Amino acid sequence: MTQRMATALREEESGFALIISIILMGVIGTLVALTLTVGTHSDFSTGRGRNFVEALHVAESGVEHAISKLQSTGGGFAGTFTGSINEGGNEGTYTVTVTKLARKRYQIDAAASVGTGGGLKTKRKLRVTMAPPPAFKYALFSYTSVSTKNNDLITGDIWANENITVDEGDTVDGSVTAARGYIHLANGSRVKGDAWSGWFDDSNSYAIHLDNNAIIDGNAKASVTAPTDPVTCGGENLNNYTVRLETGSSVGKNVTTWGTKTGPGTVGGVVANNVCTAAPASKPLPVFTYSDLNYDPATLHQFGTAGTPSATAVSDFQTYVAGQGKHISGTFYINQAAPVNQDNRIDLTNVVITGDTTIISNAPIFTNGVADDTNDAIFVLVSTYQPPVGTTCDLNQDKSECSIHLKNNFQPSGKTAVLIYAPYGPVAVKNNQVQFGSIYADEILVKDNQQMTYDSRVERVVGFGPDTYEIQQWLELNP
Amino acid sequence: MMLLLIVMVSLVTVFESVQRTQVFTQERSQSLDSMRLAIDRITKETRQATAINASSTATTLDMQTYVNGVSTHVIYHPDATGTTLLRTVGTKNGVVLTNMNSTSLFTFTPSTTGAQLISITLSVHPARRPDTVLNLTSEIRLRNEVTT
Repeated sequence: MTQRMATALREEESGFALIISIILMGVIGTLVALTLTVGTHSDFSTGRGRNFVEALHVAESGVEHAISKLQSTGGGFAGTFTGSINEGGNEGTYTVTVTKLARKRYQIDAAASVGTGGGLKTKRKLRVTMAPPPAFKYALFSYTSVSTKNNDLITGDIWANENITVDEGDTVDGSVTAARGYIHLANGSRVKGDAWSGWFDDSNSYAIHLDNNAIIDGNAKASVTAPTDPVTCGGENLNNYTVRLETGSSVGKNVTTWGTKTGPGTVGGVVANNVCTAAPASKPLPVFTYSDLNYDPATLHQFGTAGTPSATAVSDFQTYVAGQGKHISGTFYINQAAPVNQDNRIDLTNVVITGDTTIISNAPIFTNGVADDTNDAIFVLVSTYQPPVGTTCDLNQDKSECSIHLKNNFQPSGKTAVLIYAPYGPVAVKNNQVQFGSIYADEILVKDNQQMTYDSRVERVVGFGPDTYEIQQWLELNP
Repeated sequence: MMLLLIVMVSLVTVFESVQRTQVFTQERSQSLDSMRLAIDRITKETRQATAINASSTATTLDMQTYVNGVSTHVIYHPDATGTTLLRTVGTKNGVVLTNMNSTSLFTFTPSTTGAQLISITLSVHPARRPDTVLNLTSEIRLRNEVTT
């Protein structure tokens, strides 16, 4: 019997199918579990990733919606609204808040939410600041030439489409560029940055000329206007692009010129003669467009309108100023009917600026002393006056044909940034002016202890530039 | 018994293959997750850049950007071995991505100077499968006015 049992045990195979099935099921189950886990994880990852990207687009849609509301209301809209993107799939929703900031800026906060399932919901938040485009980056910008005289101090860069003359004892703490002209530094004057010229003085063939003891701390480069080839530099005469350094004068860094460096003055870096470089292109003045929608109606005073000038615009304005005790702020648009001349000009003598002030006129502007009483203000002077052909602007003649003539202690403190803008005529600044801001004009004449420091508060001013507003800052914040 | 042994060997072989596949699939999934996180972070910061510094190259993105509204100098660059992508802010380095297969990451359009569009390509191989390469690409249009 024992033997029969042993034989039976050796030959009996029933029951092994169960074991094999169980093992097989274990293997298959493991595989299925793996597939499901990875597949589910992959689905969720992909879904979250897609929603994360989509939330950005939904938030940007909210920003665009806010911009369209601002456009349709002329900048009058402020507040909160919601919206949704639904192109058949309920893509997401946004909540937008528009806040008016100081100086005609707008802040748009857009929060977007995409996805509804657990683990798939995504939120993103954007903050966009709308502001006028940057238009003023130089301390002095002239469509033609810039001339400084008598112990002036200019802090910031100077740009002239033609020539730049830095007179005796003057200092420019910045760079100077004479795009299509020459640069002349008189005795003892100084440019602490670079000097770059694009032409030469016909009277002496000097592109850059440093008189005795004049200094350029940076590089001096004498370029050629639009050279057609680098070998002959458009056929320009090598004798015409001289960089002349007189006794005691110096260039701290390199000198590069199509001509040659001459004179006893020294160069701290490398002198590269007969090197052809292209001069910068001339720059246009920023374009100014007046629109009453750009200004707060509560503080806008119009004397004559854009479409209808007034025969008494200037006198009405002067009467208003006198009535305010010469303490003014706000926006003043003065459209004087013909004749417009120096006998009927805006006079800001002894005016005190008490807040943001903008004065826009087609008449000349004159002042014999301006002050301020404020902690932070921007003072904008715009004159579109065009002097008669053949006339000149004379720093020493109060009634000469300047578009804007600032004289004697035009001294708003550093708390007020000043923008002077005269696209069709000269600006003359004389006698102890202390100014923070910028001057952009057809021509600039500066004299007698003028201190001008570029102030970036005037970089963006409404009404200037190709667009009224652009995105100044685009941020993504934590939702 | 012999039959059982044969069947068991087959099953064990299959099971072993399934286990290897599981490891590979998990690592691949982890690599993809890491790449997604890395590219989301890089694109989010790059989109807000205000300056692309001149030291930026195909392997390095050196920029001034905003991080939660605060202007920050951020540099993305590979480590010395070229297999790890680092994010440097000040003196602090953070690991963004490991097992990189290539250090050619960034393309600037039109160029580094005045870049308006930056393409990012991340290329990673899973830890134990160096013959497998995963690629993830994204393009970013810069939203702020950029200086170089």
